[in-house]
Amino acid sequence: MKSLESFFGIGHHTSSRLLARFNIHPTCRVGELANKQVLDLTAVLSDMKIENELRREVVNDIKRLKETGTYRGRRHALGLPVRGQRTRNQNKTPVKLNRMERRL
Amino acid sequence: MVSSWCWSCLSRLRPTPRALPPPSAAPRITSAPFHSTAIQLAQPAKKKGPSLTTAKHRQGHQVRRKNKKPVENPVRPPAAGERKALRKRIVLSNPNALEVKGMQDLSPGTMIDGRLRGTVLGLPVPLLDQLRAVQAFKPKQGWSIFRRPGTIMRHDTIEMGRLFEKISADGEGAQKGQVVKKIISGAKGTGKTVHLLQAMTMAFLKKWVVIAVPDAHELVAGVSGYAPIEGTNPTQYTQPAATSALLARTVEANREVLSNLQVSQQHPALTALKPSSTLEELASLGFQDPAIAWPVFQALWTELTATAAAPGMEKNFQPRPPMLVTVDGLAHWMTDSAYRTADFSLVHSHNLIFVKHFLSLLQPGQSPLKNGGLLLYATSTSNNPSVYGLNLGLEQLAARQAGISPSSPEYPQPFAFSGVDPRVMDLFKPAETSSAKEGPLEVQTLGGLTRDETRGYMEYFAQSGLVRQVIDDHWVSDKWSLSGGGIIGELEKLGRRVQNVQTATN
Repeated sequence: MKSLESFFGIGHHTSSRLLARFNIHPTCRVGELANKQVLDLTAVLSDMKIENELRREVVNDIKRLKETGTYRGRRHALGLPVRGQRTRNQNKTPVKLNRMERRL
Repeated sequence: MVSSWCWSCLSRLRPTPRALPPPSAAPRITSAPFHSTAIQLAQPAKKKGPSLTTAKHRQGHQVRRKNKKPVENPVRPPAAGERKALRKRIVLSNPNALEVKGMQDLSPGTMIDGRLRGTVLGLPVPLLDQLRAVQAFKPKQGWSIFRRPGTIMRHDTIEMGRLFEKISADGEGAQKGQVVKKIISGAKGTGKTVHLLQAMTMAFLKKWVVIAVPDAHELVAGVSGYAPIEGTNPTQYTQPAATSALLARTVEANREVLSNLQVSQQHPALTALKPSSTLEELASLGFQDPAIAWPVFQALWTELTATAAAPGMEKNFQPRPPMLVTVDGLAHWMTDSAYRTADFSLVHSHNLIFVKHFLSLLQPGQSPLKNGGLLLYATSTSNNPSVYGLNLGLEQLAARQAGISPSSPEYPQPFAFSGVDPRVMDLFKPAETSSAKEGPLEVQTLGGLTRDETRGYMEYFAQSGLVRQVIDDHWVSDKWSLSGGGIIGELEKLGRRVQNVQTATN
């Protein structure tokens, strides 16, 4: 179900397991769900760390790296790739994403 | 190119005219030599912004583009479901095709007539709606090239017609009320689905009840809802939407028969059911509310297989007609389905209770259709999930039919370490007790048409205006060979192709 994957923090892996857990077939539409299934899903989603909570956690992790002055933190701040990629040619993604004030 | 220097005197042949300013004063326009504007009047070139090449490295600039307005598409996009409806559309008639003169209909009389072998018989027009309701026609079959739908009477068809005659009530023979179980096998295009269609037509003609699963794959592909049944081990699953669709199809197709039969058994699970209601009303409970579709289907099944009424309900009991059960695409039911259990493992198809019900009919000793009938389960040998157990089971069936005993060394056995699915093998176990009412499971392999049948079939094309050649033995033999030995699907393609060649050359 695509609508589960629209949440930040839920991808194919998590959504397909969630669907299997409540016996929902993958092509099901939200409108076809039984009331109980909707309630179950909501209960599980409310326990999961998704959306803003997860964004905040990721941003805080990066911030911690910067504050402790680690190499990874510096690379984040400089807009350079963090995980040892080469910088000679293709580094559009870190240039785009890694800032002093990182947004997600 | 001629040099402007004179090689003999080393002087310029044509000195630059004095009137022109020196070339460095303005950029010389080389690309437009016939430009009429004086160079001095040209405006100085504008200074360009920072180009991509001069941009500093790693500065994170973006190429700015103007947001273009999306171009309005003048063509209306297709509405939701429109394209699918077009794809699934079944056209049964073509007014451009010629009407075949003297074409007979399939009827209780013609379906057992051996003299009609190799001729094409029309499907009775009043039955077309019923056949559509059980989805007997498939979109890719070539019904739309003829004036009216018709099928060829091949050897297997006439044999089947005789079988219907024997099982039906009008033939008071030894085989009356017998159950015949067959697996129809064959390569792509050999007419398995049309064989099922012919069976359904005959069943409707004989006033049987037809229960059809037109696409077995749909049930295991994970595209309709499923729900576990509490307290089963291993957990079994119902498929409410698929069951309710089956009930809807069954009621639509068998309305006439079902509306004349009344409920004769107790159904404590169905509280909404009145004791005097007909079977049509019983079945329609199920497709109005998919949640109770499975109990309703079970109730309908017990009603249809009842031989006598429950005590106290004998008043309106009428004997139940024989049943035809068809399933198309059996091999899809022999592997794991696309459904998942709660712990994310795949559900085996045999754990879906709908599938299990139809498969249990094949097993010996169950005597599932107490009022007699025919089970026809088709499976392709071409485009199929490859299931070793099924292939082996079919080989074993064929061996038993040929008279090889299961203890003989020639009887096909599974390879060691082949990991054959025991549940699949259980389906093809030989019957321990033979009963007069229930025949053993048989496998019937459909192959190509004979040359005579091919001739009849191609003549039908000619009479419909599709083929304009003289149909002689040589031409028929040619087409028979080209179609891989009379594979009817290939013959149909050839019949169409001949039409194209004709229109191109004429």
